[in-house]
Amino acid sequence: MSTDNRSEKKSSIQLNVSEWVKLYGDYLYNYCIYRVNHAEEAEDLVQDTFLSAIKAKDSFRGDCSEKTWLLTILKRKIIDFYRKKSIQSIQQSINSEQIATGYEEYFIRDGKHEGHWSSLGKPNNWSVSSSTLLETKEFYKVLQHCFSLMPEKWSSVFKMKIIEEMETELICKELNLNASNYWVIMHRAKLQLRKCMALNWYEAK
Amino acid sequence: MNNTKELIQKMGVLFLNCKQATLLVVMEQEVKLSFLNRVKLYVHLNLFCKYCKTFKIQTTMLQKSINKQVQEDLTLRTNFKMNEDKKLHIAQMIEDILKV
Repeated sequence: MSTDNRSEKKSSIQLNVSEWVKLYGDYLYNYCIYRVNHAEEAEDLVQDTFLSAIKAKDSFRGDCSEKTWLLTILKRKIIDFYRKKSIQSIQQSINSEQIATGYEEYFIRDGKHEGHWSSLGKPNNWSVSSSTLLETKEFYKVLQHCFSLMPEKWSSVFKMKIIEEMETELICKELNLNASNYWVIMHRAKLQLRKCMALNWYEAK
Repeated sequence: MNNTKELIQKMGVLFLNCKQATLLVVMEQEVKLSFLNRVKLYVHLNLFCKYCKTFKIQTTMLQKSINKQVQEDLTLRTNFKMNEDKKLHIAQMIEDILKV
């Protein structure tokens, strides 16, 4: 007859599972909320992290702290979240008319001047005094707004690059992009961002 | 003269349009460009196109602001708390699993 091991301490590596929510709940939530921007999504990710961790508790080797280990699991889920969001936005763009356009609001499409700035798209100078306003809260609100206008796919790439500081190759692997896709996304995202900031901040009346 | 014609044709290889130039500007912010691309870009920005030059200045500035804000947020915004009811709910779930 095999003994019931569940009630015994299997090894010297003890996981404080019943204390997890109290000890690490807010910590994981805080890490998450900034990256997914949505309270409910963040809560679900934290919950999923705890549940996955319980399932995987035998794989915990004790070579890092419990907190670090849980964070690693959460980080994985956040990347999966970015991927899910970026796939959703592909579906959306397939349905919309935007798929054929994209560069047209910035560059002339054909003819002798193909690839040159269109009259509406070309960047205007920003006055020097605007740049001294960089530090204000209002500026960052406008920046946030411009980000929110981006398709999820682009903002996923951006977040993975800037917040998660992931290598381009890894971002491409996670989101199933090739290098060319990546650069087109970055290109279009920065064109849009610059234009949005021009309209709403630097050249706003 | 044939030589001039050939030279001009070869120089065509050096010319970028603005769509290509702005793409290189974006790439340059993250990776090192090939020597040829760097030359092409320099020629376009400094000899031909003030708009692309402006684009470069503006996107560089924006990138700096974004990086700065992200770093600040990551270090300073650490006081978000999970909803208490949700915490209780999760704690209960865990307890139920552990009992099994």
